[in-house]
Amino acid sequence: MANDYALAMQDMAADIFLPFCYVNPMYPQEAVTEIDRCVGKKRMYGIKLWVARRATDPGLSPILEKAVELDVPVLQHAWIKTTGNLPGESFPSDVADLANRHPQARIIMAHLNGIGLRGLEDIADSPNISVDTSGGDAESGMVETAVKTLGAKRVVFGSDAPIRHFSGQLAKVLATDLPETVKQDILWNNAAQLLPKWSR
Amino acid sequence: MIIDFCAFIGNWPTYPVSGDPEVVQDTLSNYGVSQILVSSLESAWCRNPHRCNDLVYRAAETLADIWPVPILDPTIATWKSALHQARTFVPELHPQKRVHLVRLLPTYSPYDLSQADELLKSLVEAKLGVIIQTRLEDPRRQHPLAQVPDLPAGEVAAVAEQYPALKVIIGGTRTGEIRNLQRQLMDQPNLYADISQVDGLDVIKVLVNDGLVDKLLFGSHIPIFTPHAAIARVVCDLDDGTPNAVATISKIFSGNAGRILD
Repeated sequence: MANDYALAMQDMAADIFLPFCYVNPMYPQEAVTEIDRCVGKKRMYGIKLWVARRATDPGLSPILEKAVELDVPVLQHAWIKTTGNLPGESFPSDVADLANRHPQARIIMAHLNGIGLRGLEDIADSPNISVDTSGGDAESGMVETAVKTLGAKRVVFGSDAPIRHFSGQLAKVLATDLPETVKQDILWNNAAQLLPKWSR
Repeated sequence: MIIDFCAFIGNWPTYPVSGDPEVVQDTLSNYGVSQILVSSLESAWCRNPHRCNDLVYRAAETLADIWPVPILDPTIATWKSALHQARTFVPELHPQKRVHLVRLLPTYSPYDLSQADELLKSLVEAKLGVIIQTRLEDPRRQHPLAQVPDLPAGEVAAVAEQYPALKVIIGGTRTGEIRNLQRQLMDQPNLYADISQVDGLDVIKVLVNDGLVDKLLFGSHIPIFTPHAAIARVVCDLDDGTPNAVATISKIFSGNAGRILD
């Protein structure tokens, strides 16, 4: 039902809303069926995974295989919470494990300010993971650190709207001393390269 | 003109920040902030936070835009000396930059605000206001061996109610807490909130629509946060090019500060 809502948003403004298909890896086969519907037929732009199961869970494998087959990225939530992750909430090291099991997959790990300095190191050696800048406070220096650790091509902008203010999240990128070309990569070019080829 | 009620200098132990006073001043100057009310970040983790106020006083002596907001801790036996220092501080080059406000960090000491009664009474006598900090860091992002819970903003509002002659600023609280205190903020003339840690889509517009425009004070939370975010939230939410919008923005950026810093 949530995916139908996202598809309706796409119908409203197809050049603005590029929906991703949310699936629950607790039900791998149903997830694959839903991906076939939403991505294969309805041309959603990617797959979203949240906190149903950690990324180390084998239930994600059929989903990642389908993502590779359909040439779409997977957006995987992650965080390192001092207060304690939810039972199915992935750590960055879980996402690195997932990426290493599926080296052909294009994975976007969400929430740079949630995975923090340690999380960047967890994924540094997984070239098929990009990190998005969404969520968390506008901590100074994090985007610069992400670029330094991962390279300028592995950081993409995210807003976490409506939980976070667009301008505050944009500030994380715009306020840096990074070259304009790098900012453009983060704000647009890198994400464009992750999207399916038919969308470019 | 912009006045920043939530700015810090110094280092933070679990995350590298650019807390050099000159860097803080230069960064904020780029955004039009010309009056920076500054406390020492290092007070949070110093067992005697008063020792770190010297960094703030020195910065105020030499840097034109830095105004000192010393940290006071009522559980330090000699807190009255620190208060005396605050009351008598007059920078030689900028004599107008005397101390107007002190800041309390109750969750870092830690102490209950009920232990601050004598200090708060002294602030009333000294005609100094107080910023009571509810948060410096998102608890989810803290070092696991250095976890500090948020102070409920309602406890700060209770201080304002208990001491109606004391100007009280809720420091660094989140959107939901400010909205929950809408009635207290509107009813208590001495209570204000800085907006350094508010967030969410259209948050400033929401708070203004809640009737709180006269109670909001700009705060950047530099150097932990980039000040660009705090400035952008206000301007993007409120600036529609009309004179009314300019007036509203001016209230948050500096106008409301006049009732505290006079």
